[in-house]
Amino acid sequence: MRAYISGTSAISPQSTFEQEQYLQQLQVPEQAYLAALEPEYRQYIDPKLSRRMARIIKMSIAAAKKSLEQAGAATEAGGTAEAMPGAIIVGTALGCLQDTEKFLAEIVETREGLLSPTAFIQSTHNTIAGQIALLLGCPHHNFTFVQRGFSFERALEDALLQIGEGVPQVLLGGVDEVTPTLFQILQQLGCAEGAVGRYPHLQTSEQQPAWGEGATFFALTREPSANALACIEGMHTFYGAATAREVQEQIAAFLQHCGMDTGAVDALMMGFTGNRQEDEIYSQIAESYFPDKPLLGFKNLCGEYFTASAFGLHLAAIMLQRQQAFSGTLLSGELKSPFNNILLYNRSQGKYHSLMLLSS
Amino acid sequence: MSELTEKLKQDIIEHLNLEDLQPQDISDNEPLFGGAVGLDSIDALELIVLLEKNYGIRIDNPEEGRRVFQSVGSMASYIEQNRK
Amino acid sequence: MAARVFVTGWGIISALGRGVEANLAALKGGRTGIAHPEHLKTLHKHELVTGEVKAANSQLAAWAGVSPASEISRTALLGLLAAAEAADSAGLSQQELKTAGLINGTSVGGMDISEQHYEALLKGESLDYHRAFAGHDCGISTEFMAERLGIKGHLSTISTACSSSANAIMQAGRLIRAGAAQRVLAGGTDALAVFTLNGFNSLKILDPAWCRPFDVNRMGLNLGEGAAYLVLESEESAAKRGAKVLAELIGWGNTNDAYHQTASSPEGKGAYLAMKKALEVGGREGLQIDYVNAHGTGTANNDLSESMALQAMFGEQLPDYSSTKSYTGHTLGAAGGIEAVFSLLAINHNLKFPNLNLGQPMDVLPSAPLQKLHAGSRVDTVLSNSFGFGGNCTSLLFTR
Repeated sequence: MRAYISGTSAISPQSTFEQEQYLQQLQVPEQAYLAALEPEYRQYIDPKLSRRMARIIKMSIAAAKKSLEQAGAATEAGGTAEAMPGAIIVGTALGCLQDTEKFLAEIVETREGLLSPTAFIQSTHNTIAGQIALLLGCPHHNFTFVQRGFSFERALEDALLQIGEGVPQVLLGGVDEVTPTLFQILQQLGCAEGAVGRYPHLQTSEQQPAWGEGATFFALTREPSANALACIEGMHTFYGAATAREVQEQIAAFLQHCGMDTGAVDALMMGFTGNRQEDEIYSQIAESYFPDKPLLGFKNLCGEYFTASAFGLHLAAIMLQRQQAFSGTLLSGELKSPFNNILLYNRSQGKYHSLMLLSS
Repeated sequence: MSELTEKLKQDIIEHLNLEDLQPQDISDNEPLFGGAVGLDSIDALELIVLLEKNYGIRIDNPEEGRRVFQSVGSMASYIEQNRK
Repeated sequence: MAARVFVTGWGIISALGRGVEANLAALKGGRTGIAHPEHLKTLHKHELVTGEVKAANSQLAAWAGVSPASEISRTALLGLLAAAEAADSAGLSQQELKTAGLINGTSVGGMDISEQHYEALLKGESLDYHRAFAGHDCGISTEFMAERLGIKGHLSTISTACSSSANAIMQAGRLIRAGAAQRVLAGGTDALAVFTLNGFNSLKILDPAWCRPFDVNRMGLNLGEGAAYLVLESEESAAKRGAKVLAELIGWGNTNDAYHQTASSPEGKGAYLAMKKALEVGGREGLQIDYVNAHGTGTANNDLSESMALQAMFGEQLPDYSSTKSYTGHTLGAAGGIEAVFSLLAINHNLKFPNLNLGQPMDVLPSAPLQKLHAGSRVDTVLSNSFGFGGNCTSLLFTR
């Protein structure tokens, strides 16, 4: 099943939310992790409604609304009406951490005493998709996937199923936040190290990846609209340890399933983080199987996190639409216009592998 | 009493994060729920927490809360009556 | 032609006991599993009752063959026990499990472990971070279960609060119907946690005594814990193995009430739409529903809203219905899975389970929920409801 990206918006550690300034000036991290650049929310959320919302929810609503607005403009020839999506599907590996931490801290402080319910209510993973439904008055399918490095992929798969079942438009998101506590835990677990001085221009070292965050949303449609940015030709996941050769076998089978030759791939986007060990497989695949293809990165812009592939997909769609690479995205080779497709390969924790093929 | 109502308004704005409101925007007898202030059932629970934390007054039954939280004025009288 | 979806295996652990047989015996005997908690480390254990699984983590680990020294969350242990029973009852070989998928529903994940270490974290005390937090997220429970069971296929976790496992079962059904999967273990698991107990307590919707769903004087819900999974297979896969079929999953519907973050709409719009959708997906004209396993938590809001939805859906033709939460407590993310197993027990044993503790039934609906075990009359079709925070409403439709 294929689907068209008729709108997409990302709040990320880079300037990606405002179309006009899209990746014009790269942000250099000033703290231990890559924090999202948040917009002024007033335009997107009534302050009466936003007063209880944690930032992950605000980021998601703003990005979701903007994606729908774009798609609405696309289907209604210049209009800005948001067409009601037939499903709202979100992938978030860790969910609403800020509220979870807040409620946990209150339990500790009060010794299970008198507690404010708001943080508890908003700590559930489906708060994001639920709040969007509430705001849009959307009574349809509302799912939230939380499978680590597959969280966004499972959401995308569900979106494609929905479209296969006849739903005309799906709102899809990949969202995770980072908090100081999360970063501390990740650091102690040996999963992340400080970002300062390493990003956004990728430098390979023995250091663990820098952690990031973001809210990336898509309005997917069954039918191509005049302004559609790109088409998702397919998505494939596999789980477990895999050598470069095994990954390549999966890539070949996936491309064949999408009806495409390996040689017809115009550009390869992969989840390089700067960690030598993690990146080795990407380099091997690029050198051995796609030696003359331009190589693109995205995690040097958004950081490593479980739903970072959503940002990769978003970036690839914008590149196809605008027919250009942005500063910091081209890791090797030359991206010559016209290019018609981008193959995205992401790996998380060495065992969550995903492939997505995007065409213009 | 007016000192208490002023303090209550301040507390409510702060506790419920009503960043667009000033104490003078809420009159003493204005309904807190359903009117311009527009509080909902989650706020009612938060007000129970506020009363206990800031005023040491406990409301066990949310139904009783509904009556007490009609307005800032009704909250203030309840506090006056029940303060130890 | 869309593939039919058969249930060929089941497994459960709840306050009623370990295994399908133990749960059936308690349901038939009208014995609740709700009592004061013995294992949950909460200061409220003398004030509140819960549907706790009557086994310490060390016991669960021993049953599951997991080293008691490894600090695995209770959620993952409960999940593993129920999923292993499901795989076993379906007669799946190691090879068949290898290509199977696992779609898990959970709302708390490993919170039962991480909450015990949070104070040390806040105080900056020395801490084994790996033991404390590596198992916190929902996805890791699923990973753990898949690795233990040798499942290498589709891996997924759904977290939509109290409808999580109903949605996991629905998702398995959709993937099989679309031809994207052949064999999937689907259901959910949630352990009691201080976090959720205090959360529901802060919402003032816990009845300190035994819950009374659909009673005029209902005071709220009791929390519970447990896990349950079904083995769902395409007709082709089941036939190829010669598997015994327990029931068919014919319909499902997920909708959003879009009314309030926690409360259901007074008219039960989302619930009504979910049931309607499940019947539409089921696609059988004039299908008679023999029993509805209601969400029926025992809160003032849910039971009224759900009654209104049932009224809108069925009118005077209301099927027999009850809530089994008076047996198990509200097991949150596991509830849809546990009640799916109860629905299949209803079909396989021609039983309809009663609502316990009912004094004065609500009078919104033309008839009261069942108050005695109904045995003997055929039960061919069961509708099972699961609703959650964030307006999430799911209905599953099973037939013989």
